[in-house]
Amino acid sequence: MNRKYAAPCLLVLSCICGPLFTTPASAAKALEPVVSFRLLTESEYRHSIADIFGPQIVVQGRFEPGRRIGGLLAASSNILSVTPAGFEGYAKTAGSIADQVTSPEKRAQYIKCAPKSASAPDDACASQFISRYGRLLFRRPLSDDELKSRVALAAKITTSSKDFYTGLRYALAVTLLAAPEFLFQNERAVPAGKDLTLDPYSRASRLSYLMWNTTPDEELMHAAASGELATDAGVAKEVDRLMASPRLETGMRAFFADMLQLDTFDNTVKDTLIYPKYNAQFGPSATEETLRTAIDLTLKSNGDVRDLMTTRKTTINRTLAAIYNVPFDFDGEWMPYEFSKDSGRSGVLTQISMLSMFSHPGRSSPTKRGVALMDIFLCEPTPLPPANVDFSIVNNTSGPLKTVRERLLAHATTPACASCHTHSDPIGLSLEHFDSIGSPRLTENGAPIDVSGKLNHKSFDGAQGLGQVLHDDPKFTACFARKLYSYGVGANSEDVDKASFKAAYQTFMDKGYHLRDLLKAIATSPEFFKVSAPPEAEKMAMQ
Amino acid sequence: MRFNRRSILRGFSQGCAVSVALPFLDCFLDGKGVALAATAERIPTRFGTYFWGCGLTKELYLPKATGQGYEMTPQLKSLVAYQKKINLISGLRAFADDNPNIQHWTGVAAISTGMAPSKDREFETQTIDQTIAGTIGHGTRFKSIAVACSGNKNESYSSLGGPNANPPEVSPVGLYTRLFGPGFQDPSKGDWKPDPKVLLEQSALSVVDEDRKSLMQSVGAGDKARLEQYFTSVRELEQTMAAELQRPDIVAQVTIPQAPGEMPVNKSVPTLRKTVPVLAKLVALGLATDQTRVVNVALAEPASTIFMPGDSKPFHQATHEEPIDPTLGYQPVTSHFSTYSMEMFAELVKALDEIKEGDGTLLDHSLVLAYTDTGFAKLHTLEAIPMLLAGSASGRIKTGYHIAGAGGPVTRVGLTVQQAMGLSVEGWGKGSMETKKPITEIMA
Amino acid sequence: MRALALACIMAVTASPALAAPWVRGFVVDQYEPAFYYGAKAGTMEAGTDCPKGTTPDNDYNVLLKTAWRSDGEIAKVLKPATLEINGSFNSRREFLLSSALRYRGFRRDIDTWVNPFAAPDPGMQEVTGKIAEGFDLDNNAKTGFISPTGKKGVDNNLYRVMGCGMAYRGKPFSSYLGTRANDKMLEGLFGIVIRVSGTEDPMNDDNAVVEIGYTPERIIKDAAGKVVTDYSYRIAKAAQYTRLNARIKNGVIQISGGADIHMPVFSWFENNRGEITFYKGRLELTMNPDTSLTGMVGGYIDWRQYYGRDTFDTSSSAGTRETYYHENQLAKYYALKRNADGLPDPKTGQNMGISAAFRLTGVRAYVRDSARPVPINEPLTSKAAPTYRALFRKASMTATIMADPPRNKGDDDEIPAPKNKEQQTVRNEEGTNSSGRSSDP
Repeated sequence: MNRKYAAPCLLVLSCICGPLFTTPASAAKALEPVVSFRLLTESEYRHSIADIFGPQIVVQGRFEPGRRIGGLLAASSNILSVTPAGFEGYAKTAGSIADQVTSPEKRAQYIKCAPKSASAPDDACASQFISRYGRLLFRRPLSDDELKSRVALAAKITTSSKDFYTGLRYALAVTLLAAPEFLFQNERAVPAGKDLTLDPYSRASRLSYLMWNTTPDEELMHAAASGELATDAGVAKEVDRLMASPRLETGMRAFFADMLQLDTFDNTVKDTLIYPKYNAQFGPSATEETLRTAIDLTLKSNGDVRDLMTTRKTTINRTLAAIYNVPFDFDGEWMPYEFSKDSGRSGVLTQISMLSMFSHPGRSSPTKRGVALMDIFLCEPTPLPPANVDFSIVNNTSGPLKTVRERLLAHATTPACASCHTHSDPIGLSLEHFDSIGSPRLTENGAPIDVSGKLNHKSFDGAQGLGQVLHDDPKFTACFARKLYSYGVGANSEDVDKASFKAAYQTFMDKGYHLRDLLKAIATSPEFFKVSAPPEAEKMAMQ
Repeated sequence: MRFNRRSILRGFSQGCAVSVALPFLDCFLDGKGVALAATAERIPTRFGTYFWGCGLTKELYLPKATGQGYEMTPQLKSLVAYQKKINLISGLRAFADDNPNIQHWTGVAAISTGMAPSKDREFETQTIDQTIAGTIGHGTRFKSIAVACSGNKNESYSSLGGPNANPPEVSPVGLYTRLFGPGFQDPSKGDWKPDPKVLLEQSALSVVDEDRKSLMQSVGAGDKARLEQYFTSVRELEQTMAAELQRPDIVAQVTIPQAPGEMPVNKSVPTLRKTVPVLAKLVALGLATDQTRVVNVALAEPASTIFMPGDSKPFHQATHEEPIDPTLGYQPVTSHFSTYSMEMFAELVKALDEIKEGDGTLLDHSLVLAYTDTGFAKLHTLEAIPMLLAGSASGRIKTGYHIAGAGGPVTRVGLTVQQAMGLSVEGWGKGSMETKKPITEIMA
Repeated sequence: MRALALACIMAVTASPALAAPWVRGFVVDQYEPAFYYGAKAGTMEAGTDCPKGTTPDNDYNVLLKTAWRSDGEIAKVLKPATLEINGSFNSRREFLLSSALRYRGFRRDIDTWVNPFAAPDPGMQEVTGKIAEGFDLDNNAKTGFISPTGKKGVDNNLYRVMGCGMAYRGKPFSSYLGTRANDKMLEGLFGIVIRVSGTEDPMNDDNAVVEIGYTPERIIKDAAGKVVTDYSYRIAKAAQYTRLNARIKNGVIQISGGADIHMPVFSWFENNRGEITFYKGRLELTMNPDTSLTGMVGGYIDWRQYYGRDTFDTSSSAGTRETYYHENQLAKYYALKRNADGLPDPKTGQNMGISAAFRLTGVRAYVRDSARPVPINEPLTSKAAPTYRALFRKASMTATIMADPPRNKGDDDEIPAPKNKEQQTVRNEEGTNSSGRSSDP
């Protein structure tokens, strides 16, 4: 993801409008108000296209980069829009998809009717195609007006180009695939008491993207159409169905990738002189390892989520084995591996991913690691350092202070710095037996590394000590629940009211911290579909 | 310590702290997004490739410094006048993965297609110039032109994939005839036609606009702004298309010369010194008069057999047979041939820069990728293959840099080039050469 | 970083007082013939090994001269650089030259690459120095060279034959083919792994075992081109593999038993990789304190197999040798035969083997067994090449002139493709097509 993009731009004044075809919206079936407008992430987009058109359609192009808010990219879906460059990208991608779908070789799978003439408009056939894919792409049936204008466009283009399929191609590319109703989840609300709740189609979307990271399947769409999803029982039934499917793994991988901030690898680069083992396989391998660990533990073995902090079981490939400095057996590209107790490893905290994403290119950074882990696992983000901070002591690796611990501690005696550093540094310092790419080390500049620390008055030693402390800390599981809830609704986890997921968290706790229990509890809770604050209040609050 | 989390956001952007407090009022300036100026002038951006075989001499070409203002080394002397308009990229490598390392071929195909070839002298997919021509080649008489400086019609490395390459022009007379002979489209005369696809797309976008009003009514105030932005983006694309529907302004100050006479065309270096400048000038004129926007120039084949008369060993043979001089640390005769190869490239750069166009030169509105097949021809290595980029692609590329690639894949250059030429690609290349990292230091 | 890694390894693995099973693995990162260079620098200088310097370019006028080949014919073959045919110079010239070089015998139709004895010995510039690296294979201090450290009786006649040639001459790991083969090996052409194990102590162990063999795994390099430590590599057991008992004294591993050693052959191109056998093999390895490995392997190699491989990697690779590498296959044949110094044939008493030694270095790695068969990359050689090699062998053994097999169109060009891909056009190792088809119309 290219992080050069700054915040999206808005021209508050009306733009220069070109030919606007203003037909008043049909009075017959007005769509409910849109209360939440969430840009699809790249993986949601790709999965949706794959499910709607099949995996044989190649999706290539550029997507708007996400922004991490409250620790989650999912939350930015609610503030991002489409920039001009982004729209160009989407338009091109849409064009390419439509080209493939309407191509002579592939069109038979998608266009089930034959036009009366291949070079003249055929509204009936065009209507069939457009309404079918319009429903799938907009995740709800098209309104009469929407269908009418698109069929008319297809006819117009067919006439200009003298090709029926060209008409469909442009209708599909421009008015469906590039339309805001596809690119954004348009979540619409209906009244529920004095609050608002998401309408059934919006519920279908929200559930589907949470559970499977993709567009709602036929069964979900039917459950929406029939109104079943407006009922608690209907929701519970679909939740069970979605969770029983192996596709849950896709959804949860997307969640863990977001929560664990694995996209940080897009910007992680290591100094190849200092770390010869660093290469292009590094990021993808480390990402995959951590996702496999998370899924194996929380889904496949239905384990205790807290063990993410302490487990020594993982799955590695040949590249990772070399960095961990363990032997690899070539039974397949990935092999299960359990670190020995005296390896000092503990859960995802000491996997190459966590250790290397939050380090410098040339050396480790206890501060970065501490800050990241606090943000990710304790929901405690750290403010930026003051503008006039002096880094010279910390960065002087050839001075009298041999280890980074000594240098950081010297720093933390300054009151302006200590307020944050006393929180984050102990965490990071306990991980110092692992270098910037996650390889083990016991000394630094010849001096042995001290990995003792203290967190909330609890003393611990090394990563395993830290892992146990975090395992036992209710803040971790509460944060986990908060993050999962926020991910599902696309909210800033820092702003979410604890009440929104309190009941779900209780269930999670009572039943032994299994992800499935938490997920089900969240998805079936009334809070999951509740539209919390009216948009006006939300905007004001953000200023 | 208590702090108001609500008012603070921590972003992971490189050095860019983003504040959620005012997301909508920060202005988004995407230099890449809108290449067209507000004026009526629309100068198209051109693309070219220059291929030479057998690489360069590390000891003589590789500058110690990186970034801007690096020292121009002996083997790059001919490009000194253009240092500020070119970029040098060293240290990137090709990966064959499970394919054999096909000598004098894997490097070529890796750089031009992003994929390691499985067969000698065949491409797994179309070369980068064709991909780019597919996007920018609309409306010109030729989608692309290929030129073989040596006169050998088999020496073209522009291809739609497989064993076939686009047939090259093999002599100055041939190139002149092709460009300015019968069929020459005088850009100032009235036979230019817009791309019909653009018209269709424009029609379709207007339907999206129609939905705007009804959608805006149903969206809450907080999201109105973002939806408005979406539609603004749609409008911008419509404007871009409207511009494409207008005839491009050919503002280059050129006159078409008389046809060149017949001249010997072969691989002797003295002959090349005569023919390459003529070919370069014709290429530049062809681009300036919009006969084409994509040109591929091949100096010779990958196992380059350019030679000095009287010396029985041409370039390629010298790379293998000449010993490394123990004092110098490189092969002197071999290095001369590499230097000549750079001199010929400089001729092309010069020809492009000599044509004034709008507020700059044709070179400023072009991007030329110069590449070769190996980092060290003696051993056919795939490591440290040098590449150069000339021109700034109408401002989308910053120039004057030496970028040290640190062992990354050669496809980073191809990705950068495609993005600079306006293609919508986020990643390029296959296998170990798959990359999503363009060379951001030179992207404007 | 190495020092830290070392500290870690030492902390984890040092157990000097207590005897315990131990294993060390290595992947070979450099491998080449052990040819001693007797000059100070460069690759061409006159030195104690070759007082005249490296063997110069061939004079093709001399090579091509036969009783039946006229000067006019020779001139036509050797037309100078400015050739016609669209300026496509090299491949055409090479093809013409190669085709002519194939026939240097007493009769026009004799293929002298197959039947080198059908032409007189042109003479080889052999090594005349006294120093060589290698092993005393015949346990006779009176025969052979003196090692650089003063040990007598070093047998390395392959060095004597090939040591002045441009392909191999230079300081360790600096010769043309040495550097080229290394580059290819590290790019995936083939790989060699070594595993040393024992029951007592890596520095001193009477019950050590050394395994050497082929690995199918790609060797991993860092951004600077050095082989990365700690990667895992499978070791093949079916072929190109040997397991030997050894003794270790003060870190130096010695195998003196004289068992045959099978291992991957020194190779720089897909068509010449495969297995080599060092008969009455010897191996000396040192596990260095910085966890790297240095060593030498040697024994008698079948000299006819060596000639056959050189001459017929493809059906015409001799052409490359005699042009690019400045060699003379006929001289090579006679010199190999003359200097063969081991493995006497029981029937004829003629020596079938020639002494040789190769040097290597290695980087620490995990060497792994595999329950499933380990894939081995066979050489990609044309259909014709093995036929030619067999013909040569028979001709040489029986001193009978063998005729070339019928040459079908495309024979020389067809080689099986890697894995499942289709056939490729063969090229000689220098990258041009010696059948003349590169860029000609």
